[in-house]
Amino acid sequence: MRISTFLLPLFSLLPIAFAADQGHWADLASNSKDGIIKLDSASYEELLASDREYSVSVVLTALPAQFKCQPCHDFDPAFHQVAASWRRKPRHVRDGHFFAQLDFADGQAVYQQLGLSSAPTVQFHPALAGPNKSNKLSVITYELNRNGLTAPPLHAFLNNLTPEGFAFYKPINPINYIAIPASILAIGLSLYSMRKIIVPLVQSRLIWGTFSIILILTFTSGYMWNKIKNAPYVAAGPNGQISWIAGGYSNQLGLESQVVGGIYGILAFSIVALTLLIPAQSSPAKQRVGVYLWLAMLVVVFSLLIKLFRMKNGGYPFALLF
Amino acid sequence: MAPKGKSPGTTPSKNHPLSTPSAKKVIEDPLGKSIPVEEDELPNGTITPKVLKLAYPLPEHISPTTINNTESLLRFVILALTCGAAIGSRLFAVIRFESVIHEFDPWFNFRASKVLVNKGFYEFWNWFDPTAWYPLGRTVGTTLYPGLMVTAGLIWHFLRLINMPVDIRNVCVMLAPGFAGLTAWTTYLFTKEMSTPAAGLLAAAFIGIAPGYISRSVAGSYDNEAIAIFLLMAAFYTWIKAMKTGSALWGMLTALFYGWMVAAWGGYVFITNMIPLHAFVLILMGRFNNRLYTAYSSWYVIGTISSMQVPFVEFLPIRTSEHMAALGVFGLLQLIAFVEIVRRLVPGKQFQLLLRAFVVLVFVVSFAALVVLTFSGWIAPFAGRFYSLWDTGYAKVHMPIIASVSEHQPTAWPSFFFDLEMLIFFFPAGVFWCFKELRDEQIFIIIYATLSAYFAGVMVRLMLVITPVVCVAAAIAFSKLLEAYIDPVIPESEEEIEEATAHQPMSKAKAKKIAAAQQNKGEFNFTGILGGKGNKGIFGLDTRFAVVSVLSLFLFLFVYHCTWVTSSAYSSPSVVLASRNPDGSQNIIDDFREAYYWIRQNTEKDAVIMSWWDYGYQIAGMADRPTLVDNNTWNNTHIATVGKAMSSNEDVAYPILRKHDVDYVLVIFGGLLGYSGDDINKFLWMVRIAQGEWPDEVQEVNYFTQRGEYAVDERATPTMKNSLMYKMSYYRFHELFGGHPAQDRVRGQTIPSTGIQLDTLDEAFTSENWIVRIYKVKSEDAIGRELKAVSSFEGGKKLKKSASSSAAAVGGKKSRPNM
Repeated sequence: MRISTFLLPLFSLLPIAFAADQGHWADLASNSKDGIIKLDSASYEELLASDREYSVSVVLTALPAQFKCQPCHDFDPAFHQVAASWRRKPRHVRDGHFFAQLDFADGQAVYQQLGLSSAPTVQFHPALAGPNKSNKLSVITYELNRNGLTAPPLHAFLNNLTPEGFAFYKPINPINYIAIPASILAIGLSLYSMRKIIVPLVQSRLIWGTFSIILILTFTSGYMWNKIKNAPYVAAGPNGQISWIAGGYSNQLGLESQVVGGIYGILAFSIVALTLLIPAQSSPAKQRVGVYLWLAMLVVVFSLLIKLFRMKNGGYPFALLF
Repeated sequence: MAPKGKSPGTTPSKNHPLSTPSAKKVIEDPLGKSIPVEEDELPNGTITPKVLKLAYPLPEHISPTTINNTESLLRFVILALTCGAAIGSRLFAVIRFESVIHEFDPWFNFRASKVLVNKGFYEFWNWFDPTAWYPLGRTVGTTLYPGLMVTAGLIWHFLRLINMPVDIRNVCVMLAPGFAGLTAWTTYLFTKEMSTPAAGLLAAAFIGIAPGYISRSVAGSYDNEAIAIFLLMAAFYTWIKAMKTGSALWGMLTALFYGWMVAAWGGYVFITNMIPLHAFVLILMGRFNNRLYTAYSSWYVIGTISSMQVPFVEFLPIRTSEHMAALGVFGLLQLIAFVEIVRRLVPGKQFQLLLRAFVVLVFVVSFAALVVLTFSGWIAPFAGRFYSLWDTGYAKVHMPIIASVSEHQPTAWPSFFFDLEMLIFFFPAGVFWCFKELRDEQIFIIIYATLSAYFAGVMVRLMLVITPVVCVAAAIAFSKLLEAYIDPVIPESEEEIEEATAHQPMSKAKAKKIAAAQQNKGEFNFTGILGGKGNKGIFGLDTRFAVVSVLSLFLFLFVYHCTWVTSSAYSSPSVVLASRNPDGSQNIIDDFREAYYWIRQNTEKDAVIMSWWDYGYQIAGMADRPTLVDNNTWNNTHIATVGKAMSSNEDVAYPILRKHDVDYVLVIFGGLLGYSGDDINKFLWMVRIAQGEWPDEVQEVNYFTQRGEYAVDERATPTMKNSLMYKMSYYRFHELFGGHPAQDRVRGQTIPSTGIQLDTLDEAFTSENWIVRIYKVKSEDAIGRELKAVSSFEGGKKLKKSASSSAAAVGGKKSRPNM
């Protein structure tokens, strides 16, 4: 342990004597951005020494681009926000709890030791000694899957664990207070000045009709399912080929639901065409061709739809053409 | 059907280029429409009637009265048959099994109905049930929607009045099919207002057998939805009537159906917002009139007062956000009506401007007041259940109990197709027709369609709400299509027109025009709607035949689909299961009732049964014993307590069980039979809900393996293996296999054959197929030993106080439920 400490960069070389010392970490924290101490494998062990009189929240993350960890990047601002909120506490309180960050690039050993296979992970290490020693001494892992990558649930989680509660601080962005009313005003004014164009648009039956029917087609083809369950657009099959149909009755892919929406649209349009466009045709020959074309479209596409449904629901006994 | 002489227009010769004067005679047709008959004056002076060319011969010399009577008789017969089909298609479960109440919630409704008919209305109204939510009890009278039970009770009393003593159970079982017949009838009336009676008949047939509605209304499914869809359609029909006629009587009827709906189903909020939205859109479109004013005001006032009579609703209509839209539109209508009157009486441009400003000002001020009241807490914000419809991630984080119900999951496209088949693509076409005509009442369909499409997409359960509008819109599109191709009148083709024109003496200008047209003949000319020559009609008989037969094929396929879906997916009572033997014969699996009757026969009258909340109503209904939690999920902490007991080890769970006086614990286990809806599959929700209350003691991650799998075999985590649920499910399971690997047929995993030891529970009963397993909770040892020590003592082992047991005991003490 000691030997590896010597290999550390200069900043941790200096206060070697105070390695497990609270003051040292406090200095480090106050000098770093948002009060988050950057760790590596060695300093991780030191910070979490078994005689610590402070608690620590560590995020184990993988920010460098080569790891392609999108959640890590999404979560990083949230962690910084919560750390910054804690930093607003007076110094003697603030030093009872540290925020730290260990990147996979610097601490692969720790990852192996903890058996972690995913990032980011947030762990709360309670104080093991001193006045802040808590009743519960084991490490508590923050459940990211359950709570999501936003800051408020993380704050709620830590608020119960830190030596003292702290308010969630959101930096006030003064631009919002000016820009939003100003832009609302500007949009309102421009709308008013363009009312000659906009009023007919708002009153247009065509626009409303198209819009409503597109909405209906989107919703009835399972768009909300994709949105809520975060369905992938396409999936890779076992042999690497791209498949756009998800197996199983209550499962679907993004492209699949779009195709189904398109099929519904084509079928509905064929129906309207047969009812409205064809009878308006004044040439008998053309009308006959039209009827058979649209009717064929209706039957063929409906058969395809049934076939698609049969692929999803194996036991479905009916078929039309295919 | 009787051929309807429905010609494209009453006077087609108007856009006819014939220049000779032709006498026209119009024969009145029973429908009020007319068959145009043209009479050409022949050179010799005689007049021979030239009837428009027909694609197929129509019967002649039938008096209009006969046609009229036949039509209404046919309509009646068709409607009666539709109602019959609607009822008949819902009887699969009764025929296959028996007249039995289904699933979970219906058991409670049935129990409440029994209280209502046996003890009378007041006893029911003030009913306090000490056996539910033991030891808290439940004030049932004020925490349920009484509409369903009161309806069933009234029917029961009526049948007794006409000397038909029917068991209340049969009334309850047959209530849903009966009301489905009524729904078909109201849907017919509703669609008739939107379009033609023919479309109405189609809509009635569609709603009668559409699986989206059958799913909640088969015989035995005695739930609120059983009557709610009828009430929904009745309220909407009377509203459309009221809005069209401006009659306060219809408005009052709307209010009465609305009040009944409020008493019956929480989904009444849909009506509460649909009607104001419709009125609001009409106002925005500048279609305000006194009829709308009368209809809306009479509905809102009477409807709100009648809804406040339901104890469960009480003052919600004026205190929650869901109801504010109705109040706001009511105020807006008063304001606009006032302004209209003033404007009529006081002319003057400035004054009108002032008035308009006044309306806007009042609107803004009252809206601001609403916002202030909401933020100050006087008006409650949207209830979580409704809020989660907009913010779809909300329930998962904040209301695990609501998110845990599979009905509350979003809808994938196969469900839409499964429930509605071809209607799903006739639906947008029907909405298109509504847009094309855009009468006041059709706007209602458009709003209803768009909103319910969203709701149905967010929650599987709300497929029920979209089904009626899909049936109505699809029926409109379908009947328009049929009408266009059945109509026997053949239009004049282009060649004929030209020919006819050529033989006529014509003016110079006309001749020029035709010459120009003939010059252009070489170029491409649009002949259809793009050419601007709308000559409505179908020429060929073959095309008519093709379209009509394809549509009939679709209808047949639809009927087959609906029957298959109903029979295979929606007719299982879920209390009784059925499977097929290899030889095709049916095997009835009756484990649930077997177990519940065992409890009824073999336990003390006041023995408390603990189970997961899904089975609370069934235990209360069939076993008649107190339960800790049931399907009325009003107390999250209590449910979490049960979840904690199930997901903790015996040392933690035992004090919880003892504190709640639990005598028996009941688990559902499908591993032997492959019944996938068992407790191990629901187990993670128990863990999650318990974790919501005790995040330090129960953690979901501990039930997953290192690799994040949910395993019950060798790989299962120690927390999983020690949990009460796991132990109770797999206790002695491996003994069944006599040395062979014990295969769990739901999870497809092999259960380790090391015996599971239960220290604090005794196996009391296991049903035939092991679906229900009941354990008796041991009482404390007579000489004060720990139960673990007792069982190891009896097992002949050396008595030693192990470190783990003492640590766990400490943990157990710490984890006392916050009572």
